[in-house]
Amino acid sequence: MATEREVVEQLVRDYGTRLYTFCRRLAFTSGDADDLYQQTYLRILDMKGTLDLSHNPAGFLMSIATRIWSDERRKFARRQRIAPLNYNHAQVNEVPDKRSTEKMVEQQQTQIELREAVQQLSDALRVPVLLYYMADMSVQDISDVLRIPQGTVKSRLHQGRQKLKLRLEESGYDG
Amino acid sequence: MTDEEKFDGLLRMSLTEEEIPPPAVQAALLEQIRQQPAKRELSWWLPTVIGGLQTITMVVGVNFMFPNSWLSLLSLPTGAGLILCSVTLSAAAQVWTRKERKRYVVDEL
Repeated sequence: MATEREVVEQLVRDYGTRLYTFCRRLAFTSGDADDLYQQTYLRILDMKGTLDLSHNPAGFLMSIATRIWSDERRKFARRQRIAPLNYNHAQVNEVPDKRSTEKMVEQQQTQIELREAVQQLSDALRVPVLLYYMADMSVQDISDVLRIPQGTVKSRLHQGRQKLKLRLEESGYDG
Repeated sequence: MTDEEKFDGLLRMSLTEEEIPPPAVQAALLEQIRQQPAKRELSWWLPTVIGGLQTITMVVGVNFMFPNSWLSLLSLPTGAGLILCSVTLSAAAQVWTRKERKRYVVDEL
């Protein structure tokens, strides 16, 4: 039978990239994301009882990361003021070959703009959006994790989407 | 595909574009996990039983030292009350902990 440590190591291998991506979207700087990523797995080791990983383990990990992040939000926000967000635009140039069409470049640009727009949402809107789209969590699950009513989650998701759409339309996105 | 679905797809694709954890971070994390001492789980009811035994010992001690006194008479209901309280509180704490843990676990996805 695998020990708790072996199970967590397996989780690092299986879901590390997804969790790290989530942490990068949630935290403001790469340093914070690294911290959050490590803290999430170490928190799991500290959790009492047996881990129930039968349903959506990635969502489970992301919900823990969200809890840690919201518990330590002030610390992360302070660091953000010291080292403001600096998104990497280099990806636009990472289109694989010369035949890449203008459309692909445009799509990449749209994705980057969308990620930036998500980063600029207020925390109240950003966190539900991230959990919904990245962790594939239902409104009910998000409401449980954030401890807010389902109606509030729905309304925040709606507001978040509207703001993102507006922001994209301002920069030329036509749907 | 509606505009809404198209936008949802774009948003999902944009957010889930993978970012690989830096190898140094990953290595440090695995090292920390391996260095964590193995947890020794204490059964939740064990402290309650030990506490209960201590209370019984005290009650027996009082009855032995001061037989048929008001103190020995009082010690019986007091001891019983304390044991009942500790059992109730331990059970309530256990139920609460389970409920809290369930919050972390995402079901039916």
